[in-house]
Amino acid sequence: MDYFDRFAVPHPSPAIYASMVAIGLTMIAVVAGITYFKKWGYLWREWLTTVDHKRIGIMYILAALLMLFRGGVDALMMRAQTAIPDNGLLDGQHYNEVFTTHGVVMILFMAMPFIIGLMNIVTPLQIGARDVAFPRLNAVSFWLFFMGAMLFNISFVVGGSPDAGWTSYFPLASNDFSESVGSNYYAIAIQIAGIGTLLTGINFIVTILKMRAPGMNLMKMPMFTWSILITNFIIVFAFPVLTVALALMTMDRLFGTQFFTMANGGSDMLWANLFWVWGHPEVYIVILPAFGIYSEIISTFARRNLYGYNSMVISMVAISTLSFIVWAHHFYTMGHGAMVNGIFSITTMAIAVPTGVKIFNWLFTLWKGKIVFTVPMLYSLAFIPIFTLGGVTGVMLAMASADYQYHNTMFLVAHFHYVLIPGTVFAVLAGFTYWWPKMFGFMLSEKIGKWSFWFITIGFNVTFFPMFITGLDGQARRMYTYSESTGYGPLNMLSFVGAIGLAIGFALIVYNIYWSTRYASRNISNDPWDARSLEWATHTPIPEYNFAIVPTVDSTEAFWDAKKKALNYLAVK
Amino acid sequence: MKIDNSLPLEYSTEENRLKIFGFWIFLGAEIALFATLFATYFVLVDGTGNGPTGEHLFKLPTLMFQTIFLLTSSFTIGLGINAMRLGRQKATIGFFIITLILGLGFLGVEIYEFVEYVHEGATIQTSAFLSSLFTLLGTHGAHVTLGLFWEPSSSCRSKSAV
Ligand code: HEM
Ligand SMILES: [Cu+2]
Repeated sequence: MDYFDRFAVPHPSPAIYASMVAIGLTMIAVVAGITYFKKWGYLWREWLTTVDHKRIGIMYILAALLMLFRGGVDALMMRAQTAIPDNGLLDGQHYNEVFTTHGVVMILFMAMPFIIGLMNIVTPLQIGARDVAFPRLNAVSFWLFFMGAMLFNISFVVGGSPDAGWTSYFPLASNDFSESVGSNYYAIAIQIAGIGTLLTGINFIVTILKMRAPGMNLMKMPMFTWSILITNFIIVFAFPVLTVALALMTMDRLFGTQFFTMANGGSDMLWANLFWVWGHPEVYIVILPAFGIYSEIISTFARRNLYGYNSMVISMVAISTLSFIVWAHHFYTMGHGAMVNGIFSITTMAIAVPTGVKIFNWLFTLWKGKIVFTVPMLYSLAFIPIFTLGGVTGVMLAMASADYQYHNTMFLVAHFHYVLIPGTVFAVLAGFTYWWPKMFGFMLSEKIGKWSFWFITIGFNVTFFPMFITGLDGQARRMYTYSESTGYGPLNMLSFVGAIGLAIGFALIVYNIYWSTRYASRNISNDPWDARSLEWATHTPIPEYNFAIVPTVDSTEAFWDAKKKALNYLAVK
Repeated sequence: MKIDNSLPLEYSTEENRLKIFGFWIFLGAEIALFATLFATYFVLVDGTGNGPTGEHLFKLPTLMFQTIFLLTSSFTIGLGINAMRLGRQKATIGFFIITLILGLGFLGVEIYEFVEYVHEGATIQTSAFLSSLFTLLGTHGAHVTLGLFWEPSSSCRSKSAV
């Protein structure tokens, strides 16, 4: 029985038993529901075995939304625990598991699949293709991601979750210091999902480079497609590093190899390096598509061509190159000398330059535009100033000597949430709202959407701004509690209040989906936003083959220019 | 299916062109993968702990055999592809079989070498140097093994499609 003991929950609590029961009941309910409505055949034929890029995209997004709520519950638990000093809601071990799964779930199983979902739906349409290059491989990618995500998620009821942080540093993550099977889940589940991502990378590079509509040369591609192309190049070169790192971790933990050990010649710092050689490009994998989404939305609702097309492309290429040579900024304090720190400090600060170019381009696009304040546009407008705060604090962190003070404090936590939430999360929510009518044939309610926008934006700032202050005052990250005398109490309580605001905002999004599905008008045009690129040129709902006639393209804003010349891409009699 | 006869055989359909291009991108990823494994090896090469060092382990003859087998097999598979483009079925199959034998030879020597190492007390668990050595060589060996199965299976498939 020893073997099976490893899979018992090492740290049981009423909450975990309750979740076990809840998971069991939900599964029974889902199975019973599908059987009752006789939907098994439909589900199997139309969804589970589909190779259509649009449906695969929708499944990615559904899974990502589920994971958003899983990760969101983790976040609420952390904020509740730290809301008051010396709180006993979670103990240290639970808190460790919660912040670890929160990080992994949000980055790898929420942000990534949400982006990959949008890219699946939109990219082939934007380039006038009928599907991706390898549709079946695309389905394999999805199912690898999905199985990886599910494997990771069952960890907390079967054997215990990983507890060494999403960065899983050695020696903490070694068998000596993390005895439970938790960290094995980390190594294996992420590996499975990661291979799916790598295959997606290959698939979309081939699709974009080889399957564009006639006339669409590279410098006529829509900006979202450009961002996806560059992102996939980063995926193809960064993910193999993660594959190797996780394989070595698996072997260290399961087969007794010595890669990251402290004795027998191993090097724990090797893990930190491998992890961040993948990890830093990874943060750009989730931000570049967001930049692409904002570029589409801002030019659509400013009713102007995107300002500085060429410099947008060049800056993305620059960012993607730089993203591979900055990784050591994540461990300035771990003892590489002044020379190494200095070099990485400079390369890191250099990233701010192309990023700044992009910010100015968006501002110039807005300048003198006839701005329409739709929900996607509101997210895009809020993104610019909030993300800039994230970028500026990034440059503060980039100064190696100053980072000795900021590193591993709440200041760092505030920084990366200030880039990731207004960057990636706002972008996927904006993109989701923007492309929703193309996917489903009706619009989401603008009114409910605006309520959730305000809850999310205000809630976000109330949650994370206080962390800049407590961080500068020395509050360490990943600590499950603090004493009253530190004085961190009130600001942490404020963070908790903000987190509730955020939660309400996300709940409103779900309500919006429900409400609009029931009541929204089905009578919309193929182009309800008066948009600019080819995905709006085809019918809603999109036929399985996307375009009856493959469109010919002669400008960067192909559909917009065609509309102005009163050409009709749908003119098939 | 549209077949363009002006191109080499394997490029003559759109589907194949996409697949070959996709495979080049995949090779890019493989380069990143092996670069990471090599980097790991070079970082850990002095991490011999209480185990043997490279000087103790590496022997020239096995190394020579492996290199000769491997390089020759790259050459013979090239000849095989060339014969295929010329439409000479027998020659194609012949070269492919020679390639497979060379691949098997390489694997045989590699396995022999691994067994020798283990007998000398150098296992994958002994030291970081050996962990990285076995992993690097083993990953490469796994690629060769996969090729040994993939080559005949795709040959048979294209034969039954003719
Ligand atoms: C101007 C651009 C940026 C600069 C100069 C910058 C700089 C830095 C630095 C120096 C750190 C390490 C700080 C420390 O550990 O003490 C860091 C952490 C981090 N950054 Fe940024 N950053 C930038 C943009 C971004 C973007 C766009 C994202 C993601 C969308 C991002 C995500 C993160 C994450 C997730 C971490 C922390 C990871 C962890 O330790 O758990 N950063 N950043
Ligand atoms: Cu970084």
